[in-house]
Amino acid sequence: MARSHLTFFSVPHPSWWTLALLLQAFFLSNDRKALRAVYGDADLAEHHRWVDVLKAGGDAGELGKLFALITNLVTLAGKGMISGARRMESLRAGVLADFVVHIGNRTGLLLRQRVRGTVRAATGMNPWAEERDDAALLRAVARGDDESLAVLYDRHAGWLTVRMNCRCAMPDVVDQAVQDTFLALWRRPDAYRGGGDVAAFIWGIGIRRLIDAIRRENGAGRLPWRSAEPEAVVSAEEQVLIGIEHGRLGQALAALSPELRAAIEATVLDGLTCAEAAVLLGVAEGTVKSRCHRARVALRAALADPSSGPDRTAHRRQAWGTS
Amino acid sequence: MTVNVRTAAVRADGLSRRYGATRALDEVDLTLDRGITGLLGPNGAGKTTLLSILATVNEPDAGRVSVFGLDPRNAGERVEIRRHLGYLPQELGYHRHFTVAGFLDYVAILKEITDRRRRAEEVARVLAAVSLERRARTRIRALSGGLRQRLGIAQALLGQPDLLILDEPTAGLDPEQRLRFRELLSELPGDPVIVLSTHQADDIAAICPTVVVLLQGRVRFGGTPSELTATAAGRVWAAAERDARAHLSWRGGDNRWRHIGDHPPPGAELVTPTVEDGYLLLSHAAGAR
Amino acid sequence: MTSSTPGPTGPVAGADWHASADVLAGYATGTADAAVVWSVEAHLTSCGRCRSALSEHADAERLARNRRVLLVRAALPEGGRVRGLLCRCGVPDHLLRLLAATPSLRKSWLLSVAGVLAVVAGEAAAVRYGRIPAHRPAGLSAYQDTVVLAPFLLVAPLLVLAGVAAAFLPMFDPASQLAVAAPFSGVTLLLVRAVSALAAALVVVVAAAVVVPGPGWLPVALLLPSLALCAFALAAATLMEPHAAAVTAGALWALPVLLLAAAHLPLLIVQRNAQLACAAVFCASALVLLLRRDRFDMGWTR
Repeated sequence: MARSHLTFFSVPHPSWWTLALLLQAFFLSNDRKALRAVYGDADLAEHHRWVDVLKAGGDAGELGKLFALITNLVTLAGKGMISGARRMESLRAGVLADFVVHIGNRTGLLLRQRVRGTVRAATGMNPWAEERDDAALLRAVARGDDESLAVLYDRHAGWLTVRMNCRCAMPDVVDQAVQDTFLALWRRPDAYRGGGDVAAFIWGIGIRRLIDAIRRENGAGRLPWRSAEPEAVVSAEEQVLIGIEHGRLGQALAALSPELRAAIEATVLDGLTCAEAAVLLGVAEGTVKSRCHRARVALRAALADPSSGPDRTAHRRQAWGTS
Repeated sequence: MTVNVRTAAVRADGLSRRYGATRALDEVDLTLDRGITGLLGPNGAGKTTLLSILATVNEPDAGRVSVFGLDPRNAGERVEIRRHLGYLPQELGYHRHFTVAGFLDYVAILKEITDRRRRAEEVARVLAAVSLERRARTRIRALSGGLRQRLGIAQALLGQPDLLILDEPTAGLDPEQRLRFRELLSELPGDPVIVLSTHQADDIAAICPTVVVLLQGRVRFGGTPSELTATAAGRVWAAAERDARAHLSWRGGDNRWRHIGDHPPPGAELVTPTVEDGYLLLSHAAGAR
Repeated sequence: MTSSTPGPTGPVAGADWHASADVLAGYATGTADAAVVWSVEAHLTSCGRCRSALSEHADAERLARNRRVLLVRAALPEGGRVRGLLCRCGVPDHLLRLLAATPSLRKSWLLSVAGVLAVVAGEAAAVRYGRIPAHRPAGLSAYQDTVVLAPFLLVAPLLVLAGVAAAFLPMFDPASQLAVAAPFSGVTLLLVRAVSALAAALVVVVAAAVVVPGPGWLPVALLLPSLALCAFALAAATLMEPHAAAVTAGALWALPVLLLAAAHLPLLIVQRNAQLACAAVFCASALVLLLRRDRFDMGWTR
């Protein structure tokens, strides 16, 4: 059904073309396959969830469905115009289309927030809270929805706090850093480019906010960074209890000197750049790079060595020294 | 200067204030201690004037005020009093374009909380105390009267004041909200001096261990609510018909007439008086004078 | 890593490995050793289940408190570009947030000031360049150039005065009683608001003065009279009612301008002698303000 309407694009006159696009958008709004072609998959899922939930919402449902369809229509018309403008290579139409999409999105946001409130009040349901994945929540935060920020906080603040605690012992500083992290998500939502894990993205922001917070607290001195205890040795019984085989990787790590381990932790685990790690550790950037390189070499050698065993650890520590 | 907030109280001696020809306050003597004191009186009795003088917003024509040992006539001591003060005026206007959080942030700056993070913590604390957390981003013009009143109470709580002056805090609140307000007052940390004014006697009965009745600019009564009730003991009776000898009569909900007067007729059905009865008796006596 | 360690050919994909409760507990309390810490952390970024399990080890009270403060901080507006610029220049953040309550700094006010000035300036330009025909009563046909400027000269400093008046008149500050009952210095509050209202209004007025068909020094010449007028209004407010003070200041400007316009010499009001007089008024008002600054701490009750 969608195919037959596309022939309208060949008509050159602007008013015919506008009319054609609007009609196309109207038909498209009920044609699922065509919808998928215009919308992304995620937006489409949201659209259908809306319609389903609102159908169950009674009075609020009818009104809400109408609102949702109108705003989707406007956005669709805009998107249709964009593709049409691209085909006709019309700059003016493209600008107008962007404007229409923008209007559609803004109207949609306002209306959606209003209707969400009505649906929630009328039916007591809040289906948007649990089902959305992190990426959808971030998109909602980008649109200015503070409830999504709260949901994101409830999901991620716990592990973030614990993980930060492992780095820095001062609870006030960690609290500030956690708040600053989510505030950064709120204020600059476009930083998330859509690729990769949201958790890793959040940690990337969090570790930098933690460093800033510690620096604010500490002034210019050496940062009180807490790495994993180099001296903690897991006894054999504990190993069995925890169920972890303290394999070659563990020994290889234990064999690294603290400086090398700190450097590779900062760059690999925390995802800092070499420049940032240099500031954190209080050394030059070149030193960080060389330490990371040496650490990698050491780990690779340790893992590749087929005859490594517990009695070799002390020998290795001596060999690598403390630089 | 140090303020001894542990033992000192608020005293007013011989306060007088007139507006043109009307005497708003006439030789008012008052002592306030830790805990809640209720100021009861009709509109125009001078409650607002008295509270605004205690809040250092107004100056009296005559008399002295001492708040925690400090004298508001001295500029430096006045600023120090204001550091320990939380005030909810009777007609509080709001900048309507402000959001709830924005308004509280503004008042927190006025209370000299300059650090941004401490301000956010304080604002979060008072929002939680009055249960307005979900409305932090709502514009004030979109709030109903009861919510605005709660916002007013919240701004008075900023900075954990040692002296809380609330002018008609329960006006516009429905009974459930009034209950929550009472709980809120009883849970305040630091045991501040609280004085609130109202013209509803049941608020007094429920919250205030001390009552001051202000009529026509003068203090007519100071004591506990039960003492106020006791002044009406034996002077309240009910009957099926209206009694002309009573000072005040009205028809109750059970379709019987309730009377308050000095001389109940013999054989009258005496009823247990309430705080309101004591207050009405006092106000009639003051009016007759 | 419960079974196979990574061999020399590469790690074994452990897609269903999850950290056990003991491991997480050890990690949370900081007693786990480096290998465990590394593996837990590397695993956390991709496993929601272990993240939730780890969240259990966080203090719920602390999390709730941070949540509240976060939502408040998110609710507070961030401030526009001008504010950011001023912050970088060293103006303390709390003073800038106080300005948010000033009505004469809002876009709507500034736009209306600009609108009025545009009308007046536009009319002056229109008459000057002959767009408005001179089919008027006889007296106006001999239109001297400079009289065209009279409306503008009348209105421009009055608009600046209006902006400053809005900063200190209690009727424009709905929460004025809170400002009085607060320890924040009344004088500082007043000065911050008045100065910023003054600056904002002056920018608009000077821009309009450039457009108006008058002598080139007109924009600069308007500065001192506006300053003097506002200072006078503030000083008068310490002596009389604030409304009366604002109206008096306005009248004090309007009368000379109107008289001079009737005498066809409106520009005299911004020329040399008048500038000296304005400077004198400004100094005197500043002195009075300094001496009577305590009045701004008390409510406007007398």
